[in-house]
Amino acid sequence: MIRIENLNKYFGDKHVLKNINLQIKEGEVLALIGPSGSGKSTLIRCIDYLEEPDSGDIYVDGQNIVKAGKEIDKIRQNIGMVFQHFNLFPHKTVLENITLAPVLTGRMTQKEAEEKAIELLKTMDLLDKKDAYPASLSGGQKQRIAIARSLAMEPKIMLFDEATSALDPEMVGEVLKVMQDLAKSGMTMIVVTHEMAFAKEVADRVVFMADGEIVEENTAVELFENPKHPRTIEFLSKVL
Amino acid sequence: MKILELLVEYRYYYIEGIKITIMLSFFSLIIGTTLGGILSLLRLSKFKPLKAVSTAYIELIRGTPMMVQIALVFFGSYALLDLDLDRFIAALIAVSLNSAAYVAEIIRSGIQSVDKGQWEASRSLGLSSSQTMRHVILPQAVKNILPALGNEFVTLIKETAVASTIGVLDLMHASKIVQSSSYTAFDPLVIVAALYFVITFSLSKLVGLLERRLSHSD
Repeated sequence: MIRIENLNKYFGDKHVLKNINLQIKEGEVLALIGPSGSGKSTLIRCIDYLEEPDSGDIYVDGQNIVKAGKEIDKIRQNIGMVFQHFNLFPHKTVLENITLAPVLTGRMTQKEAEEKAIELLKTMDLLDKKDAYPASLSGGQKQRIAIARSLAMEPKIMLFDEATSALDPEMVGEVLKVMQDLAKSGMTMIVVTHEMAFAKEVADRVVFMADGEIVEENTAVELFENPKHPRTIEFLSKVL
Repeated sequence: MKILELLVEYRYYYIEGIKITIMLSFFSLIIGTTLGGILSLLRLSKFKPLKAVSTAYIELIRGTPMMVQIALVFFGSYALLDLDLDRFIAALIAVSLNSAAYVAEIIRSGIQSVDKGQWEASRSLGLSSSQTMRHVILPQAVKNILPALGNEFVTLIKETAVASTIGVLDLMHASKIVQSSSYTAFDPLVIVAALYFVITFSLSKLVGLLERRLSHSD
C-alpha cells in the first residue's frame, strides 16, 4: 500500500532522513517511535507530501507521490492526516469543518457530506457539538473532530502525527480509544507516537527511529519484549 | 451663528463636494482593494520576478507623497501619453494606485498571520492551493486585518482631499470656494473638518459592526 525507497531529506545542512526504506501493507497498523528529533514526524509528513523529499520515492497505492505534480491533490484525498495541534478551521463550525473537503473535492453533495458528518459525530459521541465553533471545545474533542474530518473523505490510509502529544493527560484516553477502534476496523495506519502502551497494544509492527535512520523494526511484541539494537534498548529503558 | 449660515448659504457646493469625495473614495477603495489583493499575492509568490516587481511598486508608492503622485498622473498623462485625462479620473487612478500599495501590505500580513497548520490541514484533505486560499486562509486573514483595513479606508477618505490640488471639485475644493466667496478663512475650515469627520466616523462604525459580525467564532 505504501512503499518508501531510499528517501532522503535535509533541513539546510541537517540530514534528517537518511536513506529510509519502508513498506506498509494494506490494513497494517504501524507505529513509529523514537526520541525527539529522530525524524519520525518528518517521515510521516513526507508521505502526505507536506515535506518535499530531497531524493527517493514514495509510492502510495502504486502512485509515486514525489513525481505526482498536480495529481498530488487527488492522492491526498485518499490519505488522512491528523496533526498534533488539531488544525481545525476556527472560522467554521464542527459540521462545516467535516463537510468542507468532501463537498469541495466533489466527492459528495452537501447533503451526503452532512449525513456522513452526522454519522461520524455519532460514533465519536460528539453530535451535540455539531454547530459549535472549535474555540469552545476541549483538546480531546478537537482532536476527535479532526479525526472525523479526515475520515469524512473516506481515506484508505490514516497518518497520525503525535495526535495525543498536545493533549491534557485526562484527554489522551478518549483520542486513543478512537484510534484503536479505527485500527480494529481494518484501516491502514501509520502512527507517530510517544504512547508506548498504545503502540504495543494496537500496532502490528513497530519501527524505532533515531538520528534520521530506521534502527530496528519488528512486530510490536518482539520489539518491546526483546529489542536487539543497543539504541532501542537504551530508548525503551528510558520510556517504559 | 456664522457657521450655520455658511452651511446653509453654500449648501449646494458642500453637497456636490461630498458627492464627489464619496464617489472618489468609494471607487478608489474598490479598485485599490482589488489591486492590493492581487499585489499581495504577487508579493507572496515563489516566482522571484513577480515578487520583486510588487515589492518595488509597494516601496515606491509608500515612499512618495500622494500629492506628488496625483500631479504625476494628471500632468504625466498629458506630457508623456498626450492624454487629456479628466481630473476626476486622474485622481481616481492616483488614489487607487496609492491605496493598493498599503492594502497589499495589510493583506500580506493578514495571510502570513494565519497559522501554517491551517494550510497543511486543508492541503492534506486534498484541497487545491486556490481552494485552500479561498475557503481556509483568506476568511481568517480578513478577520485578522479588518481593523487595519478600516484604518486604511479612513486614511484613504482623508487623503482624497489632495485631489483638490489638481482641481477636482471635491469637498476640500468646495471649502476653498466658500472661503474665497464669503471672505472668511476660519469658519469654512471648521465646517469641512466636521463634514470629513462625519464621513470617516460613519465608515469606522460600519467596519466595527462588521468586526463584531465576524467575531462569532471566537
